[in-house]
Amino acid sequence: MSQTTLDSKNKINLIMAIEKAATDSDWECFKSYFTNDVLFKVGAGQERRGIRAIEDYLSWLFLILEPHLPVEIRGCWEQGDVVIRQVDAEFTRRSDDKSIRFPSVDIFRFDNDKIREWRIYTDQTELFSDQGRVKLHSPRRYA
Amino acid sequence: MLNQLLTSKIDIALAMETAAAEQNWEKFQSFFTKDVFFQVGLSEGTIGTQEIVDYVKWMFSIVEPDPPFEFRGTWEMGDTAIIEMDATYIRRIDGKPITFPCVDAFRFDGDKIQEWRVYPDQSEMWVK
Repeated sequence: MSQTTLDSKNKINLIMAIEKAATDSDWECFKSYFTNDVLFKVGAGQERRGIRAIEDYLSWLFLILEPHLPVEIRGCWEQGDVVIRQVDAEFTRRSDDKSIRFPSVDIFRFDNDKIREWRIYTDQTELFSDQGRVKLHSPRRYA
Repeated sequence: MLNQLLTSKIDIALAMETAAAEQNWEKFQSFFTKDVFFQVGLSEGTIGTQEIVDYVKWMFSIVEPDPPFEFRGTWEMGDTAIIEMDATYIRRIDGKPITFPCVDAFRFDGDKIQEWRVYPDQSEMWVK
């Protein structure tokens, strides 16, 4: 098991610092928080390796959405080399200025003080609902 | 009490999901408080066990569980339990094996689940 050199509070602060660097598009600062071969995966998307994959995803996301910080944090926990963050993230969709929300869980796995794995579990159906896609998964839909 | 025989909140959550897969709805409902809050992704949150049963029945009408699921991690912190997994199913319309990367976040009141938030990507549930 990898040794974690950051205490819990510092790890959580580090996650918040990463989030700020991303929304500020400060990619030099942003990439310093990750291992070179960081694994990154969003939902059922492909696993990708390397900081470039994360930069590409966030740049693409922020083209479509404007983030609003701070996110609403439902819970944030650290156990061993893992930090789990349960949030409701608020955005404005740029195409129609609609306020939208992504409930999500981020799971970060650390190698010492660097993030070696970042998996995002989220429902991004609102990303494209301006294009007529419906929320097919809704439990209200069958009723 | 059934749930008191289970040693951890993770055990309770996994036993609940097993009861769902077995479609043992009476046992399934015993794992929750009567006013349990339930939400899947961006869908509207619901209150009560029957809403969860209805959702699971609806989902199983589209996909058949194909256990064992691949668990990436399980954590228990105070009254909260988190399960990270790849849930595997067979899509009924075409028999295709599909996977939902998913996190389940549970909050407990004693040995009962009082909140269940599900964070899946179910895009594979639908034929594109």
